[in-house]
Amino acid sequence: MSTNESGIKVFLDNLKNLHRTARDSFRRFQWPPKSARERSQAVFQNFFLHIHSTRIHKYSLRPSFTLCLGLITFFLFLLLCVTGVLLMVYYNPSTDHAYNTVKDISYVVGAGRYMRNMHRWAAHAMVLALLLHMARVFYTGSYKGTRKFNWAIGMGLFGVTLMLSFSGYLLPWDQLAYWAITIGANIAGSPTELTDALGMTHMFDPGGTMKHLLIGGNTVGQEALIRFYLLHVIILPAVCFVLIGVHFWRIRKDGGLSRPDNADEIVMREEGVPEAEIAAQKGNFNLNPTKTYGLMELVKSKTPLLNKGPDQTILTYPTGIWAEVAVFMLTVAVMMLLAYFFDAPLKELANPAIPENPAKAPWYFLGLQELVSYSAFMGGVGIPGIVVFGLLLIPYLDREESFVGVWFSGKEGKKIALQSLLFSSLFMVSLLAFTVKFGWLRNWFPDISQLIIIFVNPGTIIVLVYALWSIYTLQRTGSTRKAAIALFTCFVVGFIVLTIMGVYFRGPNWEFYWSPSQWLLH
Amino acid sequence: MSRKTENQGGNQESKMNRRDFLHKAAVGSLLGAGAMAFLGTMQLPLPKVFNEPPSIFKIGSPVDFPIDTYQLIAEKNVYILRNREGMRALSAICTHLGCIVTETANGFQCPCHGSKFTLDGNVVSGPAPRGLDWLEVEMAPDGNLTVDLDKKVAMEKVFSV
Repeated sequence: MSTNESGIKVFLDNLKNLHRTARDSFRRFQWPPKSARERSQAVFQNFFLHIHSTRIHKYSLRPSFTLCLGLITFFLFLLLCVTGVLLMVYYNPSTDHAYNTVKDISYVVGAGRYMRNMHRWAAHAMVLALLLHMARVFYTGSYKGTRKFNWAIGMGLFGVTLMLSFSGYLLPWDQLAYWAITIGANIAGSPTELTDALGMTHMFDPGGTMKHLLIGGNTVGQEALIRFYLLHVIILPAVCFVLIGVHFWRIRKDGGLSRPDNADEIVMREEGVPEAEIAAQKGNFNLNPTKTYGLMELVKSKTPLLNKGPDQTILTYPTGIWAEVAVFMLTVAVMMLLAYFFDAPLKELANPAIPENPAKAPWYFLGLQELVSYSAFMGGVGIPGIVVFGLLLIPYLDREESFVGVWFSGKEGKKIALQSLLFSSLFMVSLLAFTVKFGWLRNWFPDISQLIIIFVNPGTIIVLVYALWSIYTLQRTGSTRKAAIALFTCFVVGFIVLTIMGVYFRGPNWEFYWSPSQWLLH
Repeated sequence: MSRKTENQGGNQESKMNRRDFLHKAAVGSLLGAGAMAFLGTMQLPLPKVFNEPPSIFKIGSPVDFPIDTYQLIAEKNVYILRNREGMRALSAICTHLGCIVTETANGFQCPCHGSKFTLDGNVVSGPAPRGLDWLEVEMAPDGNLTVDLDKKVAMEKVFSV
């Protein structure tokens, strides 16, 4: 029976308990979680966290295995999104204003210099972390079995990241930006070099179409700036987010991070479990267990977790989450230091009449720029296309299932990697020394057809020699994995040597100089 | 009135029945429509109008150019050459990747990857796939010479003055 008085009492009671009711409406589980069940719920009933499995294998937490590179790449991406949005508050993507707004951000806007620096260094760091992550995944054989497709998604992320970097590079509209993008757009148009040599450009000009699509005209101008801005702030980040989602989803569905077959033993040994007990727990998990397991622990599916018990796994909350938080804090701390001490460069306003000399792309493209200095089409489109295609094919051409989760797949693989390292270093240095000293075909035969130069230049020679070395490895070891290690190592070395060449030894007119102190002033 | 079942495709061994044919036709026309829609939509990002200054521009009258000399018109990246026979225009845009060449003692050189050209625009070294482009020189009705950046001509073609 409700009278006015008890109605008010109910209302006041509700008001008094407001904080508790509100908190309970938000939380669907106990906090703080005390049991294994509650800790599991903290992860899988949380919108942001439930991409994680509720338990992870202790081996996956070892920093020496993954070096946390995937996480670092992802956290750098988040950092870039945050600093990017902050920069968007003041940046104006118009050729008349872009440069001045970047200057304002650097010198006038509160914390602007810091945010811009952080954005620039995080971009470089993300590319580096991504390359290292790809190498880690390759060398631990983590592309095999059910993980083949995730390697392909990773390659997609690689492409998107490079495009994000490339599109962002134009936005300051300084000399470096303008000429880097002019060259980049002409590289996109370089299939015209091939169609010209074949005499078919008037009928079929994919290079021209690609260039027009990219920069909205014949020269880099306002249309190019708007298109690159559009790509950089919305199209590519959206694609990146979707691919990241799929990438993480596949990690879950493929059974978590890869680990060696004897991961359980390794973990138990490290924890000091006696050998007898380790031996007793070996072999298939007892499918008629004597203790009960919650649904979230036993999953019947096609994944590598089949017939394995959860005994060497640990609850994601709190250990796994804390590990991720630690990596995040470390990444942000390093970025904060870099942003504080080192300024992002800003050259003079873009001037279409005066090219930079030398006009150098950022470090991760300088290897490509070295190749492009031999042939625009082969160096800019042909060879990168072959390399990306080759990388994509790795999980489908090397299907040996042994030694997944083991660095170099063991001692013999390590030996192959070292041999390839030695071979490719010697080869690269000799080839580059030869071209510096003696030049190439056009120096000896000035009238030679461009078609021959497209197919016979240092870049194509490198690809050919690497392919032959890999086939040779395949023949003498009979193992596709070892051939893959040989090829991948060769390309890593090639990439590093070409990048070093482009960074340190190329000066004005792209000529060879032992040291920047010898560059002629212009 | 009954009709015989039509023989689709004319192949006696693998007759497709009407339902499968209609299904395939439906999916096919959906895909076709999708492809056409995509191609139509893609017309948007392909630029139809280039917001660039007109390709033809005036360079002055012949008296501004002494015989056997050449001058650079910096804003348009063109060198104007005059010899005894007349006028020619040489593009200063490197045919490799679009950088602007600089003058050297006996020709031109590109600062980006070191392509070297003679005074006639021929490639002697570097990654440029062909020589520098020669551009058409004409005369406007008011007596001024014009250069057309979009019209390439042979090296020997001279506009006589």
